[in-house]
Amino acid sequence: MNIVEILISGTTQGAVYCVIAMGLSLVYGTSRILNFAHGALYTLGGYIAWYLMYGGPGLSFGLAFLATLPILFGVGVVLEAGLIRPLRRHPNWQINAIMVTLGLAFVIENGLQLLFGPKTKTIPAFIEGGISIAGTTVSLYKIALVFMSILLVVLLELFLARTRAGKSIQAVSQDLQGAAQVGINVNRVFGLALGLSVVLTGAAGILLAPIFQISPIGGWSPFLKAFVIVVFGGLGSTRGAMLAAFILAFLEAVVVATVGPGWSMPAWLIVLMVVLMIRPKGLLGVWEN
Amino acid sequence: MLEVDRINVSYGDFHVLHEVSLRVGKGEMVAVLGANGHGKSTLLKALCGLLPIQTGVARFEGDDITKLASKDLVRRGLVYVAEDRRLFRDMSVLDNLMLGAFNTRAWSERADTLRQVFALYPRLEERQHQLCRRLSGGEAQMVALGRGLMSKPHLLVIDEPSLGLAPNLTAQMMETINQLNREGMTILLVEQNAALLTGHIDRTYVIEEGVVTQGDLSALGEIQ
Repeated sequence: MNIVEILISGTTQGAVYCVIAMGLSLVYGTSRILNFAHGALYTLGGYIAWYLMYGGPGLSFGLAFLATLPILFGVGVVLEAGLIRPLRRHPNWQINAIMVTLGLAFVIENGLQLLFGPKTKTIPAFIEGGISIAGTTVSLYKIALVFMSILLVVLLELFLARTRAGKSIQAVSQDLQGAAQVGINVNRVFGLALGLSVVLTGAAGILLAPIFQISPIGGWSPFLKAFVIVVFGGLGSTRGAMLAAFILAFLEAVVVATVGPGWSMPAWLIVLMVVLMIRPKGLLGVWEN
Repeated sequence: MLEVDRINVSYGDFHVLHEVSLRVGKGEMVAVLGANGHGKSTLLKALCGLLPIQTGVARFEGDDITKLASKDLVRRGLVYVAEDRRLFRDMSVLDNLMLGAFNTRAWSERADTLRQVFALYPRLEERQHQLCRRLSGGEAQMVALGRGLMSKPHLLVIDEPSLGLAPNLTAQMMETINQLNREGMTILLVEQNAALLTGHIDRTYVIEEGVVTQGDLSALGEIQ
């Protein structure tokens, strides 16, 4: 096995997993929703960008990417207000929210299939070619992907740590009643968190489209991976998700290089089970229960 | 300033408060006494918009606030300091205080208010960059009260400030609350132990199994 290949693959995958998993974790930490539509919303991002490029407006990759982000944010805000908020009034609403988001995932997937057909769509990479690192060829697009993913993660962290709105998200995730006491509009924070989460997962869907292509059911694999990462990192902890994303990405790279690609998910789940047996709240879990 | 007229509040199916009425005038210090589990916290949470009021009317500065949510009440100056403090544990003391000024009315004056809070509690200025999870019980209670003051309250509602504090710290906390009241702050205070209430108190209510009666502090002191 080639160490350089493993390092490159681990870094690339880790950066992208980070973006998807932090979105999932942000919503869980803030509004206690396990969003089963996270993967479908990842796919939705790819389709919206594809439509803006080839379906009509004919935008460039960069413009389509930038134009898709506010649309995704709006989707998140509307879903929170229209679909999740009414559930909150009832006991056991968290289980209902899982069912409702699972249903939403199927609605989005089938809607996309109805609109765009079952065939996969492609978005070409905006840079071609590759460079050689220690004898291994790496495509320039993968390098750009790493930088853009890290940029998204850094922007999210800065937003959470430095802005008034970001601090209100942190406040809600650390103490919901305390947040209400100081006058934070918690419903608005729930909407903001889901909006940001959909932006993150949808952005990942666009950025990965040149590598994996876009298909209506293509979101389940990234969702499953994000789910394992978030549980491994500790539910609700965005830092934990970040750490877990890279650990599991490097594990995946090693398993793919030594045993074979089919073994990466079993390896993840074995590691997850071991971690949860030793530390049930995950690496950096914040919830005691 | 605050007039509560025969309110009823339930926790799920459990009817906790029955026809509760009370009144707090501007500049007053009013205490509600009662044993644990008799509805003290429920009463304060309902008044501060954290629990719904089923029937009855609550008025604040002349307006009906019965149906308002906490975010609207904080903006009007009705501010709640919880018994279990409810700090943001993974944020610094400074961040916690600044979030106290989250409402638009207090936000523009936050620098001034922060100076006042630090003047009241120099200890918090020293520890402003400390995470709240690392504070002692006494310091955490200072942050809780300081965060309440950062909201620029017209009426400060304080739930059992003595909870979990050593007797000397409780006495200090009570002295601070008295000082705030002398400086003109209207205060509604809930306490389990009547003996802890010191200084000038305008009126006392007693809550027993969700029913409130007006009581006499000196008589209560003897009962305890």
